[in-house]
Amino acid sequence: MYWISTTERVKLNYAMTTVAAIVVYTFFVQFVPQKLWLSVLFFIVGECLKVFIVQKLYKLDTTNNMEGVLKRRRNNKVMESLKFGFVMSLTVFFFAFICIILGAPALEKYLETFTLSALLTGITLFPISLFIGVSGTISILMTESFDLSNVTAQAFLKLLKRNAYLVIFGAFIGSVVFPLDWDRPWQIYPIPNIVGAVTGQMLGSFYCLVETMVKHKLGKKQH
Amino acid sequence: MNLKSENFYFILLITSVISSFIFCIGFFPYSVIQNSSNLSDSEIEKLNLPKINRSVLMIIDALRLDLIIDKNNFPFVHELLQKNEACMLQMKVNLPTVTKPRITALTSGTVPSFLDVARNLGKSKIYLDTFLHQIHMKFQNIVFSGDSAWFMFPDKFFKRTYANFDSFFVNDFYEGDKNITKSLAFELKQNDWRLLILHYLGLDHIGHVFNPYHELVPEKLKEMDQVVKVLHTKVAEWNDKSKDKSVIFLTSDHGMRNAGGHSGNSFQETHIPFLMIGVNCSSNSEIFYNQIDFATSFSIMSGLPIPKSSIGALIPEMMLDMDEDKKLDVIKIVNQRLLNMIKFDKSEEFYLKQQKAMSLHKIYSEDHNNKNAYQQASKLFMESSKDISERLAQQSLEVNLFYVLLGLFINILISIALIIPSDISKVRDLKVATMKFIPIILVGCGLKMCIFNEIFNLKNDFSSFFVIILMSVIVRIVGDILLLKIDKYKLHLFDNDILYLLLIGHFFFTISVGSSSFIEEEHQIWYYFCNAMFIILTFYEFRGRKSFETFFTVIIQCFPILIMHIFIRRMNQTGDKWINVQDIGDWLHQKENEELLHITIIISLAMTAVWLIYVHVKDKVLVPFVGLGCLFLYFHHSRSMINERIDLSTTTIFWINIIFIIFITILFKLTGKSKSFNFFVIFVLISLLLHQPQNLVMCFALGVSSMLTNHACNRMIKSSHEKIVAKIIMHWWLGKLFYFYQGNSNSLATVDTNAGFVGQTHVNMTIVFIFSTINTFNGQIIALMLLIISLVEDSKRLMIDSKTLMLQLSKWLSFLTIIPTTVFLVIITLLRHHLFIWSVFSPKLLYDFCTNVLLLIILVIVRSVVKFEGGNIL
Repeated sequence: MYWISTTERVKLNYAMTTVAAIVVYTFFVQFVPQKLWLSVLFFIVGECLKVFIVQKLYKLDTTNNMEGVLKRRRNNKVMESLKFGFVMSLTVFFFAFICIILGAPALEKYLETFTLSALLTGITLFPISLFIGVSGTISILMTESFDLSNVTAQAFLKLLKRNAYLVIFGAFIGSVVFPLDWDRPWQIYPIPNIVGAVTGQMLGSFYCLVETMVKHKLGKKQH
Repeated sequence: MNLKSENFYFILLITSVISSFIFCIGFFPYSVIQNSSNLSDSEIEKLNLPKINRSVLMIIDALRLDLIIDKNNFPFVHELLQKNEACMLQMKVNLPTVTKPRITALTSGTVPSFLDVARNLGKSKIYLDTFLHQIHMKFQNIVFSGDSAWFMFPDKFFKRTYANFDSFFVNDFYEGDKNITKSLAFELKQNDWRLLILHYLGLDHIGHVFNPYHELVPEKLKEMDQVVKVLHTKVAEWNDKSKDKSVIFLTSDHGMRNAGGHSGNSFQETHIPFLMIGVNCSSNSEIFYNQIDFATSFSIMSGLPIPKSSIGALIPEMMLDMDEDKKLDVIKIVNQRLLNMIKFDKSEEFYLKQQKAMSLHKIYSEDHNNKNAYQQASKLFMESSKDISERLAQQSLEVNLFYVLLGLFINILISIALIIPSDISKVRDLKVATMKFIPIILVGCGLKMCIFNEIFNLKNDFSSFFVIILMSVIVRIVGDILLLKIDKYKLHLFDNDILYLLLIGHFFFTISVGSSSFIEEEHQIWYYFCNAMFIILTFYEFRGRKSFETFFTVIIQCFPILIMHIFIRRMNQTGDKWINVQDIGDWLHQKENEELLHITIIISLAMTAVWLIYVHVKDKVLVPFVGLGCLFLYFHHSRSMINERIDLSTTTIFWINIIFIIFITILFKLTGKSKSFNFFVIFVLISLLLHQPQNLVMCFALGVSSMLTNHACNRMIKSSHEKIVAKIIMHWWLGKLFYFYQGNSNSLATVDTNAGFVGQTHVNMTIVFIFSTINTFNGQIIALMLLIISLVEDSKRLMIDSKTLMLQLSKWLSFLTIIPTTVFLVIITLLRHHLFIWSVFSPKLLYDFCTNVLLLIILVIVRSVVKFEGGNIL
């Protein structure tokens, strides 16, 4: 048996679970406007599971440089979860606002916009917040430097961040099919963006898999 | 000749405009006039066909098919149709669906070229053979009343004319039409004319201002129905008295799209009704005849020679009172005539059809009882004629491949010279002796005489030699620049990622022109990218703010701008796919929302005034004048909302006010009290005068968006060089964004011709042209001005000299325009047989060309001002 570092394990674990989740998703997905909320639910549960598995298996330490001296997470779980819920719903509205600025029909398709922004929150900020907490997420967004002291945890956070970038980029690029005059059913508003977001996540996972494997191989040769 | 290296980009822009012009000349074809022999005319004469006596050609501009099918619009016409005293046929018209080319097609039976759209506004005369000419040759009289577009025909054709000369005044719904009907009452009493032409414009004007579903439309059509009633009573009277029939032809020049304009190729624009009233004939709602078929058929039925260049087939329904044998003979002769006009292989389908029809005709002439043979022969002759006619129409639109490829080649060369990265300050100046041009000119001419003439079937005429000499000179200069730049090749990378994002966005736009959907929906690209840009800029404004107060200021500064963009992107729906979605502009113009429109005007003018006074008016003396100007603008817009834009009194006061501002500026300038020209303020005021009321907010919105981008650029980007580049790209995008916000698109139908006539009672083509240009490209012009103002301020602060500034400006602006244009030229050359070439790609080419010319003009002005004034411009 080869020796694999914990960082690599975490990365591989996360990437494999993401790919598995998306493969499962492709079997069950139905791109009917009324059933799109099911995808949102699927991805939120999926992200919960993924982060939970990683935390359970590797018990990563999430103290960070912004909190200064080593400081345990606050014990007040009720306040923490209330804050979590508040920030997440705020993020959903924030994403919806961005969608509307970028041209989503504000009045006619508000449910679709809401679904899309919920999905985007679910696979970008939600896992990060689950992992490092809400205040950490806000400091990532608002400051240039935010690092975790644990190397593996930092690598995992970097993975999640890259994943979030790719998801948003994919959803952004998805709009490219709207102006085309093909009149296909899948050209209806949130579907291309959702597909784009999921494709972005998929590509991120593949990239992570390949990257980890190649680096592992190279690292072994040097030894 | 000594060309300084700092002027290289400017020279490249000029040469690019010249070579694009050559490309356009080659690309927009002029219809080739085929000549037919007069043989068919004499043959037709031998048949001794029945002729019609007098005819009335009534044209209702922009009457589309569904408007006449609706019985409520034309009760009298439908009554006649039921009584079999009229018949209705359907016609298809060619592109472009604009009045002048369509009248040409109707009267001459040829397909006029695309460039006639541009000439639609000019007054150039046509020298084609038309049935008007033929009637004139027979010393018979034509009377004409209506649209002055008909004055492209020589005046001698018409015995009497009653034209409404201001036929571009889109707000005239009733006056012009009333005058026509008045002249009609007089003319119906005269009996010296043979053909009476009536061209009603009211419907077209209602369409341009509103849309075909507006409440004014049925009213207008009922008025037209009354005109038909008057005509029909008189014609029925004549027909009772005389053996020879008189006929009323009721048709249209083009249709109207659902949004109200025309010039594209939607079904509603290209399909029109054609009615013959006062005679007994059979309706046919299955076949769409071509509009060019009318000239041929009309000439035959009134006993005239067919116009020489006509390529139309025959409309059998128009052959009135004709026995079947003669009908077949006429069909055969017209088919033979068309066959003589085309070059063809013996294996072509239309030829085989014709041969088969000939043999069937022979069978029929031997056995007159063989109805089957008759039917078959007639059908085959008709099909063959239609095929040939379509083929000829296509042939007359062939591009001049030599000019196209020449322009394309040079544009590609220019693009390569632009793209090559080099340190321009180290590049040597270009010294070319005039003598050195001679070898390449000789080579160019030699190539042309020996090779190009063979390949492209060219003649050795003056213009082609002029072009080849000009092009040789340009190739020489561009080639030298290219070599000099390669010599000092140096790749310079940007530090900031935002610049790469901008360039990637621009690259996407560049390749998007390959798809016709993306050309039609080009505004979506700019809406999407610019708003994404705003979001990213806002995000970076937030980032790194520590205290809550600064956080709050950012929210107050940025969010209103973002929300404003949500609204103004819905102000004017444009493009193709979503053009029928109701927009805020339409909604504000509804009767019940009049107060809201007033409030919108007041708010937008107030905001503009505040913005101008606080940011751009440098001398305090001018403040009251700017305020007064906005007040006059309010009066102008609130008065002209309803159907009368000729609001002389306020516009006159407004212009006097502008003259005051100019006067004070000059006075201050001369006495040395002030340094600025206030040109920007004056320009904004004038463009507000020309805008439609709902678009008044655009100038202010553009101003604050530009402020946001400038602020964010200054914060985010450290290096001063990159700051300038980012600002140039962002402002060019902003210009495009507001150009489309205003309701423009890549289709000629969306040009707001109203703007050209603000405050004028008579048409002065120069002023109309200037006003329309200012109004159409308003977003781009103002964005460029804001860019220059901001760059000049920066240069004062950061001590950048104006030379570097001009260099960067011309470098990046030419980069942003020439590369997409070149890619588009390549694509349009490859796709020149594409189905949408005339409706989608060609207007975009015209718009692109106009934008580049405009950019060149602005840069020339800025250069000269910078040269004489140093930094204190605008």
